[in-house]
Amino acid sequence: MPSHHSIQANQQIPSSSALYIIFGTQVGLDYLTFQRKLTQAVGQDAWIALLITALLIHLAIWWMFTLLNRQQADLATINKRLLGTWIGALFNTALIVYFLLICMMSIRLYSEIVRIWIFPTIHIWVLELILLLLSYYLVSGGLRVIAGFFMFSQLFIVLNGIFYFLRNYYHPTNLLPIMTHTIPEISQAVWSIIPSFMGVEALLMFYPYLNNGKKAQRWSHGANAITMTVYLIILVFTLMFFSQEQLKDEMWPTLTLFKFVEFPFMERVEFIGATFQLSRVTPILSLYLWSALQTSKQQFRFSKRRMLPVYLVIVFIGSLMFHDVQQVLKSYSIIGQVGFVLLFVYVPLLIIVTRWLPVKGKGL
Amino acid sequence: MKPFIVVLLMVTLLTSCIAKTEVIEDIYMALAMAVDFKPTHDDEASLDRSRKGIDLTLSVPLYTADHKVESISFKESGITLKETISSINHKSDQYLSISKLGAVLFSENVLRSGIGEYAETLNADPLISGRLILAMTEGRAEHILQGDFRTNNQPVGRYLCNIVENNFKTFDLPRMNLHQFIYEWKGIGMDPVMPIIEISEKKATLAGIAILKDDSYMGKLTVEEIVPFTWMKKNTRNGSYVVRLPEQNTTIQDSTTRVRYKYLPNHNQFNIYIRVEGKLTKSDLSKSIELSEVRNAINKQFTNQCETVIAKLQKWGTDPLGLGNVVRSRVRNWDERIWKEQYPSLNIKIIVDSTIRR
Amino acid sequence: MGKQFDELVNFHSKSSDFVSVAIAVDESIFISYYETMVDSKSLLQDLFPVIVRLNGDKIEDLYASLPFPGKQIVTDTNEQTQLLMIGYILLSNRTEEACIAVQAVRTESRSINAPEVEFSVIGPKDALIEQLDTNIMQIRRRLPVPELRVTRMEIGSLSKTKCAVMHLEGIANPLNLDYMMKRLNKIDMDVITDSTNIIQIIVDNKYSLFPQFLETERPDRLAHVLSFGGIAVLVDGSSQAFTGPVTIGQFLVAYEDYYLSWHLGSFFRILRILSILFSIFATPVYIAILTYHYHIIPTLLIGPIISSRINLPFPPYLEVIFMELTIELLREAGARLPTKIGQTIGIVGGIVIGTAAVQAALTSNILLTIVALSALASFAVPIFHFSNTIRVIRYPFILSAQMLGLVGIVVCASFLLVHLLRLKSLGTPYLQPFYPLRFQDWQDSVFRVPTASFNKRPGAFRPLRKDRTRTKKPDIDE
Repeated sequence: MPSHHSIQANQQIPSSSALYIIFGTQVGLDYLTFQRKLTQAVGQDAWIALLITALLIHLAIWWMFTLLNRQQADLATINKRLLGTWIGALFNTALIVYFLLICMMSIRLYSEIVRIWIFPTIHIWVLELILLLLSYYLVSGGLRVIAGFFMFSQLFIVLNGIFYFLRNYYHPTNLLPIMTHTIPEISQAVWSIIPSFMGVEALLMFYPYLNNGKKAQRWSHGANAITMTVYLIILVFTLMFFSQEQLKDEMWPTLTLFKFVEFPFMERVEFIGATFQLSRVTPILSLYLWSALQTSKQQFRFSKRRMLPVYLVIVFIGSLMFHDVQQVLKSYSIIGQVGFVLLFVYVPLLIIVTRWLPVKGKGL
Repeated sequence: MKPFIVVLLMVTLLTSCIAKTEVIEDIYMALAMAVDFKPTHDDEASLDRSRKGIDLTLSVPLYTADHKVESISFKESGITLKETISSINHKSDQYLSISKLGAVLFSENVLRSGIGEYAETLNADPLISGRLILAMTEGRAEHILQGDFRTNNQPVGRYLCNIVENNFKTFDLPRMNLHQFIYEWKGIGMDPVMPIIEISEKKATLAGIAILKDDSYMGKLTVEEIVPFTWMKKNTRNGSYVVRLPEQNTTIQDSTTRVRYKYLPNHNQFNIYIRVEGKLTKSDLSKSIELSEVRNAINKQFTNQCETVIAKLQKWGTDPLGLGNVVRSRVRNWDERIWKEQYPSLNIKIIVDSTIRR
Repeated sequence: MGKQFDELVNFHSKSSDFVSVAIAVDESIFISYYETMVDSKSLLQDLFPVIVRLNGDKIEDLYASLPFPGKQIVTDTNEQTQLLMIGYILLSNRTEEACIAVQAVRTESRSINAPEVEFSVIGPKDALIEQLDTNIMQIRRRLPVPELRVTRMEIGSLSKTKCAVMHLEGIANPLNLDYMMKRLNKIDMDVITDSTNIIQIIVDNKYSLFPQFLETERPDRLAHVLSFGGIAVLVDGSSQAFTGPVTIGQFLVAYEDYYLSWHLGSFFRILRILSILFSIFATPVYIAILTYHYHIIPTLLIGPIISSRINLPFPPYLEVIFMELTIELLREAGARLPTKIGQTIGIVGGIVIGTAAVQAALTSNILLTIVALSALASFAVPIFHFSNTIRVIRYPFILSAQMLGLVGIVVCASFLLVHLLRLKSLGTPYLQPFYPLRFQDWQDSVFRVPTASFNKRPGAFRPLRKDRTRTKKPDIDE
């Protein structure tokens, strides 16, 4: 379907970039921590919950594209169009807050990783300032540059392949017995893993910039499938490596796995593993900043260039408000569940509403 | 805006010098640590642990410009591990870092009173390697660190690690390090083990394996019992084994072993099948031996040895072989508490099947 | 003699190399020229004998009787001045304003030599020289088709530098050409002495360290780029031409790659990529690990490293900066001195300073090895400007490694990546074919496919025709 919007050709991003953007935002820093809450609920049956969640997200992607293909606009514009100026503004402000909260949490989470794993004495604000300057430079290059950064940073996921070298440490019997948990337990696990699959909602904002929306749907489903595969592989490695009771006290299972890899020229690969998360968190931070900018642009006609420093300051101050990493992780789950509501309640509602309303935006 | 950003970036980078630099030659890197009780408390093993003081000894290598190395040790007393480690820096002229630790030695008394707390402290520090070797020694652990070894220009800490690692590699022993300790300690249906290191003739040697129940010492397996223990626990390669025949002794080389478990809940029986494949050592004497004779001798001798080990383990009520874990993975609704009650009376049967080539 | 022409002569006579004399039988013809600009041999042997025997009063008559090819009648004073300046001879009689201009430009220049900057062991041994026409000739000889268009222009209000913009019509994208012409036409500068002057004026991002046009002295490379749809600009007086648009992949290509078998070509390209990475990251990683992350070093390696550094008074980063600057100094001094002395300086400096620095405990021999290797690696980059970039770009990495260890290096690398993502050359993304991802273009950037299989033009030039071959490869069963 040709896109009906006014984005210039040289500002558009290829539809295939949905693959790495969505994969990047979904996996994010979650793949360092997701195993713990999952196994707390369902132990070695965690992979079942993982598969179910991935299917749910496939469903969400499908109806997101139904809405977007029909409206040919981003969520902020749709809100404004359907809900009118005032209620639309309210919803869009909430959207901006949502995006900025994600920014705050991801930047704080990375800084905490550095403090815990690399520099125990570093000041959090220094690191956050550097990251925000980097994302200023990135965001002011536009979505095209952000998408490019996503592409390069996703290559580091290959780094997880070195877990193969830990094969002597794996205990395959840890995966047995299969299916010992009840359905309520599994649905509990699904609920706890949903935040780790969040990130697809960014699509609601950058959709108009894709040069072919219809094709992007296939890429998005592909991204979700890859996310699931990566999670599954890491989960299986983790379950085989740790005993379940040990995993309950392990806050950063993936980084601990890195810790055991050894080469003749190098010990302690977790320093590399923890450092390279920077290249994963920067584009996510930038994409959500950009989404907030885009929302405020569509709703209030605020210039993106003007608003960027304002948002950066908000994120900087906001991220320093968290007490410790536990609080960040907890809020991260909560905001992920808010995202779940956005995807599974709000978007279907919009679809139902737009079913009968004439599309005003066509040929915009 | 651009120059502004550059200036801001430089300023933040400069201020972040606050990240503490630890230049490699300006710090002491402890490679081994020994934990003892204070000598005055040493004999009162039953004393409440929390009121006991510990003696901590750190072995630090000193490298010189002519590529020589000598080891010095730092000693400090305290109550908890964490506190003692930080206060040991009072005695040091350079920052003393423990994040390169390769081995931690516990004296038998410390191990007997439980080391869970220490292991937890070490494990909680992300800067400490999980491959850290935990070991036991029967005397005072600090003597091992202060021992005068004829090492190959190696620091003592590294030397001790090499001793253990060489044993692991040559005999294909089960892994025993910090991670494995935590894994087996916290994991259900398993109990940890650790190597015992002793000094003999100016060399450190592996003197056996310490068997723990939860996190405290129960008893040791001797050097001869290590191989049966290993073969019952995991599949091995490149091992060797001495067979006692009526007239002579002979050795099996390049052996490959496979272990399988079978649990028969109705008979309260646990079968351990061990398949041994190996090669007879070449010598003039061995030519005259019948292979079937060797096979029978191995089966009998090995079954006996294994049964001795199993009897010990069952007496102590510990499960370092992880039999409970095997059952857990096969039986639904497995209960650790019931298993623990059953374990000492479990009927464990060893079935050895060997194939010997010339 | 016309009045205006008289003024002209007076104006030019202020230069001592201007000659204006009356010759011919009745001294009726004036001949004016700059003796430094004209070819005296052709003046004496060809021109004078004819002029002396001339007769006729009218300029038209004179014009008709001159047996030379490059002659014209000029009436405008400005034009007369211009022609004088570039080596024409003006003939005039006493009465008329118009005069005849005869071309007698001195054409001395050096002959075509082997390329020095982009040297290759095998392959053609000719390089561009300072003369525009010769350079165009060299390219035309390689692409003898009428579609090869040359647009001439003059740049520089004082230097009047002649430039030629070349492209292949039907292949080069008109957008690119348009971009280039617009930028060149917008140049407002007095003196242009070399193609690099022009490049610095027309680049997309003036703050960037990275070269945004590909400078080359190899006519074969120029022909190659033109055939892909690139735009080439040749500048008179410059032995380097430049092409655009350019992508980062092109800087990894030494033209010799095409003359080697494809396995070797690919191997060398991958080697170059690795050497660039090594050159940038080796010393910063050394600093980061020795200053913060000693955990990474295997315990066996710690001994040798500490032993070699035990007496050093400096922290690693000062040691590195000291050694890096020494190497830069050696290179710079070697480049400024005459070749023979330069070599000596390089060898003597390298050996003597290196050994002495280790013995004086200014540096450790491990670092010395790393620094020397990374300097060597930076010279493996085939394009001079790019190699300079690589050498300079290390320093921010070194500083940030000192500040934040590995995290600092990744921060710095991220800034670099964002910069490269934002950078454009003639509006074309610089990081092609990596982003936007074009796997097809990898056949001529990361590695090199066999020449016969290399049948598509790179997408980075946005050529109008993609196929390099006239016939398509038959499908199975065809």
